[in-house]
Amino acid sequence: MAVEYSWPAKEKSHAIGTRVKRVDGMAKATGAAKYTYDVNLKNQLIAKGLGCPHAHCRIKSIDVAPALKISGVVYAEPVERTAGKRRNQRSKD
Amino acid sequence: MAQRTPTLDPHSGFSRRDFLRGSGAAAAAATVHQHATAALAQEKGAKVVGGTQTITLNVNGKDQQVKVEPRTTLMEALRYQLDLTGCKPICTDGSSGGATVLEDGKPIQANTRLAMQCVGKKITTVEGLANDAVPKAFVEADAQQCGFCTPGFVVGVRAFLNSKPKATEEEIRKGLNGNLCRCGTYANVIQAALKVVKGGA
Repeated sequence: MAVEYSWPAKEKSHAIGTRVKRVDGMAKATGAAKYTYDVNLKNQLIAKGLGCPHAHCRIKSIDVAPALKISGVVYAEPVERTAGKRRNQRSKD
Repeated sequence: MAQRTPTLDPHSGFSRRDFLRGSGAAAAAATVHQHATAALAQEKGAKVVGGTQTITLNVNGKDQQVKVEPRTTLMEALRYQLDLTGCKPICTDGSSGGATVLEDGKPIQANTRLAMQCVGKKITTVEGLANDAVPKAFVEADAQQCGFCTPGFVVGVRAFLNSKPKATEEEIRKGLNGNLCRCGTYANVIQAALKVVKGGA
């Protein structure tokens, strides 16, 4: 069933045929816009994934104790499920 | 953040340390070089600094104190201590122009400048250009999409037009070639710059 619709008269239209300015344009152009990258909270922690630096090896164990001793490190979690497996075997378990 | 984590490659066949250790002559040369560097530093009156220090930076007309290490870049001081995040870490080597700020009116890349080098200089970030004609022209000309590179462009346009207030389109194209935009807003950025030229701002 076709819906009858006609565009409003040109003088009543406020969007079509008019210039639309970017609503966040000024914020972006003056550096006020906050991107996720710009969020800088007090005592903000930063998470980081650490990959194995060896291209071909078998991980027998992961010891995070030395990492925790570094000043500023709050938490470290070894991903145990990869231990003992080669890189290309990970997806099969 | 954007910095790459240095990875140690134990399989690399070459290391600087081994190279220097390799021959007595090379080691001697290195020692001589070290002395020469120290002497040169003394000659120029350079000061060797270490540890965290509190310095005063003049940013957007205000003297502000920041705690920096010698390695802290101006960008890190601006973003993480003064919360002026208009200066974007798009690159770490100044190749993108995203961290453009003005130092005594001249454009510099804040990510390749150490904070300590900027003591006594007048730093202007994009936040300091809020009432300038350039950001207004950017909005008018729709010279942005995602807007991440825009602050760098705004400061870049301001700096270029300060040095060449009557720049032509061709000159603007050349003058802004240090800024990169992945959205490809270049055409409108140039239109925005031309608007500023015509507006006489």
